[in-house]
Amino acid sequence: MTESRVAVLGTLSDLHRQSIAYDLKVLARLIKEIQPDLLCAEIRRDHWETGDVARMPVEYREALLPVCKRSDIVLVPIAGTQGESPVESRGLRAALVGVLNWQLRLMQRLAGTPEAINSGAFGVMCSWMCGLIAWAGGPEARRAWAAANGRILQNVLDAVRRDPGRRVLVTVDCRRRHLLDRRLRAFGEIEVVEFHQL
Amino acid sequence: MFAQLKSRLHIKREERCPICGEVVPGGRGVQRYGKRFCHSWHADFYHPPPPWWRRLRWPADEGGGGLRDAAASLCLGRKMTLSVLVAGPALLREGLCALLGQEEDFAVGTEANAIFSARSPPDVIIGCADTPDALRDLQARWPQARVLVIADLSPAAASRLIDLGAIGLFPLAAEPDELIWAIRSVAQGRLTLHPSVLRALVAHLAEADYASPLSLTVSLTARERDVLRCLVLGASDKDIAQQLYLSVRTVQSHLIHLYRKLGVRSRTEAALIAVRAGWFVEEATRGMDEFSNSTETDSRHSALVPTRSE
Repeated sequence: MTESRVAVLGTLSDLHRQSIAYDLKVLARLIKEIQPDLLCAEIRRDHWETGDVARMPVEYREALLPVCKRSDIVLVPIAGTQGESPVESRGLRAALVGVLNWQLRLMQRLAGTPEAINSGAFGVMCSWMCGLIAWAGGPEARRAWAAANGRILQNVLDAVRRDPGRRVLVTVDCRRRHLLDRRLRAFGEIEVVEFHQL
Repeated sequence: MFAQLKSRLHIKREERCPICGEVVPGGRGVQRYGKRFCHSWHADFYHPPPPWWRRLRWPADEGGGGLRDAAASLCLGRKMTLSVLVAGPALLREGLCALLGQEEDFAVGTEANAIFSARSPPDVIIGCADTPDALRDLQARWPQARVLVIADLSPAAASRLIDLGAIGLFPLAAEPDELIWAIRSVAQGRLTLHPSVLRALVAHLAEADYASPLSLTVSLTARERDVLRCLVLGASDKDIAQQLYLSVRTVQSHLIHLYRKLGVRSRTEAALIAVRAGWFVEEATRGMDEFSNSTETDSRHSALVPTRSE
């Protein structure tokens, strides 16, 4: 079977409602330089198919989609049709999750470039923080988180199996990057590489 | 060179034609480089004109008496000839040799004459459809020669002969003048078909054009059918890729396979075959409706995101 080269690139999807020091031009330039055959983007399929661009994260709306439009890159929405349902925590859990989220956002603000966000140190820190947030959120939040990750993984696998032997760039929320990266390495038909090696 | 010119100017005595052995009295016949021939075309076969001379094709020469003939008579003392090799059944062959031999500028021969060689290949090979293998052998032997076939052909056979490389097709009922004109035309590399053959061929092709897609039994994969469906809607490679969530290169690869299976060379032809075969009639109709509606509606996101038909 033909092996597909896959790279996972983390983006700051969670912060798109806030003003962040994140240069989208750098992200756009990066995608343009990588020129993958398929860009598996964490956007909802129904939003993409109905052309509901306003409900997509800002980095897709303003950076990735225009790049895809101007090039031969084909965008594949991988967030499914349901998306991730937010789980409301209460009491102490909510406070703890709030503090951890604030710290995560602070980290993400400090890491202002795609290179920094996808660096090893940031990945490890992010992984820890996400683990803590999932633990603090309770079983329901953990289930929702795992379901969303599983859906994204399945959609990436579908895209790769549908079109084997291609260069695939997966752009997901940076909180999922390390998790997805690790899970994708378990599949024989996929060669997971760094985004700059794609 | 000097000796040749000298002999050419001074020899007046009786000689034998080196080709057919006929006695050529002094002062008659044709002289070429110290040899005397009974016919000018014998001389041309024995001393063929140089290749650069044969390549000259001046428009004024078509009717004869043009610049080339004038130059030939002035410089070389001979006329340009058209060498014709006649193949086929003996009766047809001899009849044609007799007919074409009357033309001054035709040098007619058969294989048995052994007057054609690598140095002097024939311009035109006249064959008969009863001997396609022999014709193919002759063509392989003299690849530069143009082939004209005289036979009563079915449209399918005519089409096959054109595929084999024949550029002239004439029925046995053709007039001698038509045939002579056809040989000259074929010698210049023009596809020359008798009106009756042309009419039959056009009718046959038109029939085949409408009949073949309906009886098309090509085996397309599910993905190729999807690509063809998008093609019918007029989608570009990128649009198809986006519709099917495939890379553009994969779509192009599917298109290549599609073209090969359908025996076409362009997306338009492929779409046309699909529509004629009635494969995606609904999609095509919907595509037309969408096209007509798109001129009226203002789709803000259409430039960014393709509209999906599913």
